[in-house]
Amino acid sequence: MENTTLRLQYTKTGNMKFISHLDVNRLFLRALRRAGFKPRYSEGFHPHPKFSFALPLSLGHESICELVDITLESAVFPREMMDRMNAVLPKDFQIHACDYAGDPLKHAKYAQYALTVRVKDDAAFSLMQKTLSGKIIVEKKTKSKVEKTDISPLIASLEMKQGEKQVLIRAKLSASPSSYLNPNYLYEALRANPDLAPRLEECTIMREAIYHKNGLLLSPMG
Amino acid sequence: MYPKKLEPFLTSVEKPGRYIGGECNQVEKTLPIDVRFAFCFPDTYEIGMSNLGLKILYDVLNEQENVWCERCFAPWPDMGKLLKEQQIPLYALESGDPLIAFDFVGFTMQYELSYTNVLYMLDLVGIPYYAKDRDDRHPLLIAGGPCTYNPEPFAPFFDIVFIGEGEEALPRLTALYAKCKKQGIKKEEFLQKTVQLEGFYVPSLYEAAYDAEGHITSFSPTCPEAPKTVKRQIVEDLNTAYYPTKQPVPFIETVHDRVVLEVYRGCGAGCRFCQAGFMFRPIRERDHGVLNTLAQETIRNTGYDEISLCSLSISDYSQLPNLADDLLSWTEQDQISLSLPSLRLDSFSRHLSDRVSSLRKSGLTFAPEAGTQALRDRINKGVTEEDLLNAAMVAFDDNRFSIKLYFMLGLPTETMDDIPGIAELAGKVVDVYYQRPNRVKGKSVTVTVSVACFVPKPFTPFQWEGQDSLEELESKQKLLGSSIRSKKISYKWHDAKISRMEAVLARGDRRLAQALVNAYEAGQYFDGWDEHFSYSLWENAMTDAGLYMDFYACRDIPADEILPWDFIDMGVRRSYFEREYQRAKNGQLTPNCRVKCSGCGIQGCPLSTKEGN
Repeated sequence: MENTTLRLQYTKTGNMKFISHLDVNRLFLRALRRAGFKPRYSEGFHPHPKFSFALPLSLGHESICELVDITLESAVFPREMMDRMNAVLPKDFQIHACDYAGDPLKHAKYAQYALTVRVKDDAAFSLMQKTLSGKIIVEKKTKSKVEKTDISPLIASLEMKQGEKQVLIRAKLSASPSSYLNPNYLYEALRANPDLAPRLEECTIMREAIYHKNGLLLSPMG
Repeated sequence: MYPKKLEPFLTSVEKPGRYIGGECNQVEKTLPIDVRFAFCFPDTYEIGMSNLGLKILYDVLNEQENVWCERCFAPWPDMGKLLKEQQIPLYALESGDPLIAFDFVGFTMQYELSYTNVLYMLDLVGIPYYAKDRDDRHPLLIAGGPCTYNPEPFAPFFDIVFIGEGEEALPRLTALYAKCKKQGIKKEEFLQKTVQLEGFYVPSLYEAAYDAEGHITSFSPTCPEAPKTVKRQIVEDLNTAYYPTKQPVPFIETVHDRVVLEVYRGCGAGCRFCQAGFMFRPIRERDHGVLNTLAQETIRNTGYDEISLCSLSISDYSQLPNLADDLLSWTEQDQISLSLPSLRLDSFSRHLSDRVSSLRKSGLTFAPEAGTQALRDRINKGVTEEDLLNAAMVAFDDNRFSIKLYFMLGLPTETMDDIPGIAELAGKVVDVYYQRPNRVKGKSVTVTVSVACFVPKPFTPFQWEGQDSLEELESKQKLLGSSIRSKKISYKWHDAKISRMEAVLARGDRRLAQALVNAYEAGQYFDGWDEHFSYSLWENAMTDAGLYMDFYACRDIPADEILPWDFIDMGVRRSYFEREYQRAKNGQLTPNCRVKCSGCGIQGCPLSTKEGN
């Protein structure tokens, strides 16, 4: 039997941001069957197909750059895989690139996010700039306790743009397994500022890119 | 789809995946359309989306070109609170439109303690609870499902209650509605036409009278159009009956997250406490070939990797070996697993289990229901101690080390002596395990004794029987607890107070509607979930409506009294139930319909014989 491992890049936007990582796993499993593909199953007592994801995405966050490796039991052209899968996947969950997977999906090093923060007035912008410069102390919950930590060393780059009643933050954050920074912490840092909090309305988060160790974009081709 | 206004708040509620719709195979249609139908399930999404009936009727209605059926489930309290705070009315998952915009809002009544959830959902829609307080501007409220076999406690809330299996009858209702809507016919006249369709009960066209003690003295139609009895509707041929091969597939994990294949409807065992056993008569089997095709199509359309065969007693299915062969010819290589719930481990299933690695090795469940043979005979549970111990032996040989035993306390004619019998029986199962010479050393056995309280149900031989008082039930539970000595036996029991409320609502009349409103307004909903159930709130709700729990739950009803559900012709004769009740008291067994017809009176039964009737 000829196994093929394909790397798929997909979006998770709109409605689909409300389903969890486990749900995504289930969605792929069922979509493969609907599309007529047979994933390779693991050996063992409870055989199950193995999908390997580059980086889990928090519930509530959108993304245009999710990556997964899927091994099929037979050979298939990437283009065909993409078309047949897209026909059975929701419109807010579509594959936009697919290729043979080369090396195993490497651990991501950085991820870039766009945070769109809706604000009540223009004064919020400068307050936000101040809050997100220098040390950024947030409360991080671990299993047993709540710790105050400085997250600024985990931010590779951060820029802010003022818009109409909103501020766009584009940030490249550490995503390595040992020091993963959830972008929610940026918004929490803003909300922890008592002068700023009443000026904030809501925040939407979109993951835009995932980067390799060597700084290159992680994609089906790389 | 959900209202845009909800967007920023959805991540703040538990499992938002329940509120977004958009699943694979969800049906979307273009507006305007003749009939918009909101199919409401008064419990959580995870429970509702596990219900085969919902999936069948969703598809049946959407097969009608001029009908768009959408789904709606009871939001968990955190979401309900959010909807209220944000003033977002309850919406349907397909379009995201508020339920007020629909022609029909239909509820499936599955369980007595979900009645208050209907009020909760109506409250979130923003429409009056009582049918009499609504007019032509409001959607028509219709109820269906197993609890409509006594619809009276919730009848005053509904414009229409459908009695029976809806696959064939519901399209007749939507067709009538579409026609009337075009002709500009008003609600009142439409309901008079509806009541003439078989199986459609219009509560407002009937009136009940009571004597000073609260017994029903008369129950009759108030207009010539309404028939004296409402005839339950059934699907005659399951081979041609609708089966939803293209059902919506949830994103989130549900209770039964798999293809549920309904193998046959009905049951011939005749257990005297079991409503389902009488309600789904006659027995109607699906052909194994038809089932195999349906299974293949459904797997292809949904992508599920598990099939569960569903029926009241799967080992009674006459074509089980053929069906197993059909399914196993493709499921194994396609990595589809099979599960057989409520499996009786007889020689056949053992054989199956040896062959199939994909058959789930779940523990064995067995329902002796009563602890002594005499009581099992009186409730007509045709199971012996030997059956159980044999089944246990087979299970242990098959390396299944957990056995779950279901019992009931408070069964009619039960005495205190029957109760330690439960502990003894469970103890014998443990002994079987340790007496096996070939047992695996170091492996332990768990026998779970799970005990419910008897609840008298309409359309059963025990419908007249009063439930034990709370004190009796609780002392029986204690007695059983102290009779269990083995550490290998784990003992679980149901809250007797919940069973008591089930009995009140199961045997209630239409005066209970006010108690339901009182209970909801006092904060009772999701009552079926232990953490939300408050017995004292229910007691107050009943008292404030001028009603007594004992009157409904604990009273032995004389045979000549009018029962609230007597106006329903469900197929099995009342005289048959009376006879069976008498046989129970005499300790006489009645054979399974497959062995001998006992003449219950049901029409269209393939097992029915002249001598039986």
